[in-house]
Amino acid sequence: MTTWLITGASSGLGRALAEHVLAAGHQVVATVRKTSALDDLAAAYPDTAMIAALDVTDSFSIDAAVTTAEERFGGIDVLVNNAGYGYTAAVEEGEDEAVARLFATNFFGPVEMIKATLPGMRRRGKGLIVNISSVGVRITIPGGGYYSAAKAALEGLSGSLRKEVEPLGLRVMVVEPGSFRTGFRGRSADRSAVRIDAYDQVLGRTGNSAPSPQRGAPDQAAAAILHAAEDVKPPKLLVLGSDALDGFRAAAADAARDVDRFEQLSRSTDTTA
Amino acid sequence: MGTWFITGASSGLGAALARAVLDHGDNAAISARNADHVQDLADAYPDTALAVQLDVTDHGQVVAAVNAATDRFGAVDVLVNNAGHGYRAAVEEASVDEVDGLFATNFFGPVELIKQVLPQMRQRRSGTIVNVSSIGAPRSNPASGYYTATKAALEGMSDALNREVAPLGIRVIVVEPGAFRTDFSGRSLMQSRTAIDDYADTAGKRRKENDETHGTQPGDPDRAAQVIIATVEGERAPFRLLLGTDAVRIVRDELRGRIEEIDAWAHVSVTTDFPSEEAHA
Repeated sequence: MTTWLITGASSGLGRALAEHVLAAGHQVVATVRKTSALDDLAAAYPDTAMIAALDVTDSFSIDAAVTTAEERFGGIDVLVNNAGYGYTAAVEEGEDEAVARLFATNFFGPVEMIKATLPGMRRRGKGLIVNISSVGVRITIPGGGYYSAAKAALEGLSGSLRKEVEPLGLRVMVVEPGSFRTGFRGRSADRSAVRIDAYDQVLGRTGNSAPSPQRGAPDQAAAAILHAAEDVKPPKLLVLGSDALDGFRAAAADAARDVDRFEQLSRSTDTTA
Repeated sequence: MGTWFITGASSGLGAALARAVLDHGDNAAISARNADHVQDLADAYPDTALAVQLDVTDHGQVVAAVNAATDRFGAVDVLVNNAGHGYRAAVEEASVDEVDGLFATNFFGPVELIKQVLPQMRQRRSGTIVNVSSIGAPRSNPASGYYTATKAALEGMSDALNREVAPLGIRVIVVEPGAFRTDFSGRSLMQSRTAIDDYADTAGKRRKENDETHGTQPGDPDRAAQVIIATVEGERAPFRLLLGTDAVRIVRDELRGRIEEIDAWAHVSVTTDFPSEEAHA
């Protein structure tokens, strides 16, 4: 039995993961901004579920939740940074305050969670940090620049973190879900109040184009994450969904092609060239 | 003849690029936090250079600097977001204030400059935005988590921006230099005050006092400047311009490693789809 701390557990992937991990017999500290959202989970798993109020942009509430969790269950084995939301704006339309808020929740929040959890994990010489990113980092879309930036930042940080903590017995896994049938396009989405006509077409604000179907099942994503987390060697990067997998491969192939095509030019900057 | 606006032009790659652009006969607004540090270069090209005081974290200065360049030369055709600095700290060792400052300079500063030049570029249906990233973006090293985060953020934003402005005739290029013989690991590099013993063998080895790469980097900044100019002026440009044999090798390694891992776990990745007959959201 292990202890998980999952942020943003009130809905979507976070909620599905909390339910799945509890059903598998583990202990879960499910954090939400409003604890009433998880009354049913607490009632169903009185001994193994703990619901904690946590706003990832508030470092005091982070410290309090982590301390309480460690006291109740003796330590956190798996930290899942899942809380986050989307923001749609052409780069030129980005609002300073909204972008700052987005980074506070999607990047600096996870960083603070990691910093709060690491001392306990280092002391015990084990632990897994799971950062939920998005395949939107690979397949960036118009209007998604700031969201991609915050997620790319989280992935970049995760890469260094892995190299810092692996020698101490800890693991870091990044998860890149594709499109899942959650509330992400609903209550988890923000958009800029600034609208510049020049971007209407490229952001798809002209016609009534229906959004593409969301092919991912959150419950199955939760199962995949638990499976990967329990592997003796969890992957550094776990892509979820065939759409995400296809997009990831296509983006990598494009990048590799550009490296080849411009190789001579790239090499011409060497001192000895 | 075009007009360039180059930030962080007082040293390193920015200074080399500023010299090369002016040598090439183009106009250049060359900015630095202390305009005195670019004044000598500007004085050498009195008709085509403008020295500009600019701290990219100061919104008022960003507006004033772009206006000054536009007033003097009539337009900014090429914006080069080059100003930036490094920061060495294990993720756990960093201070919030220092990380905020790093993001302000390396990410939010470039964003402000982009927002400031885009209206005129859109009006003319032409322009090029060059964002200088780092080979540290695809390859995260110990102690460089926050620096990598700022550069990865810059690249992620640039990717969307490229798709937004390409239909409007504007081009976006991300430059990923490998290690260049500049003063980057000298005065452009900051580090955390805190050092935790557990990280001595990872992040600690890359702290300034232990870093031995300074002065032996393979890249030539002047050659990099020529390649950037040729790419901006050329018809064909990659979205990511790698600079240096080391950069080519690192990106290939990273891409190969990622694909191997994706393939190894693909059987798990595909288990999360709804059955196809249900796939109607």
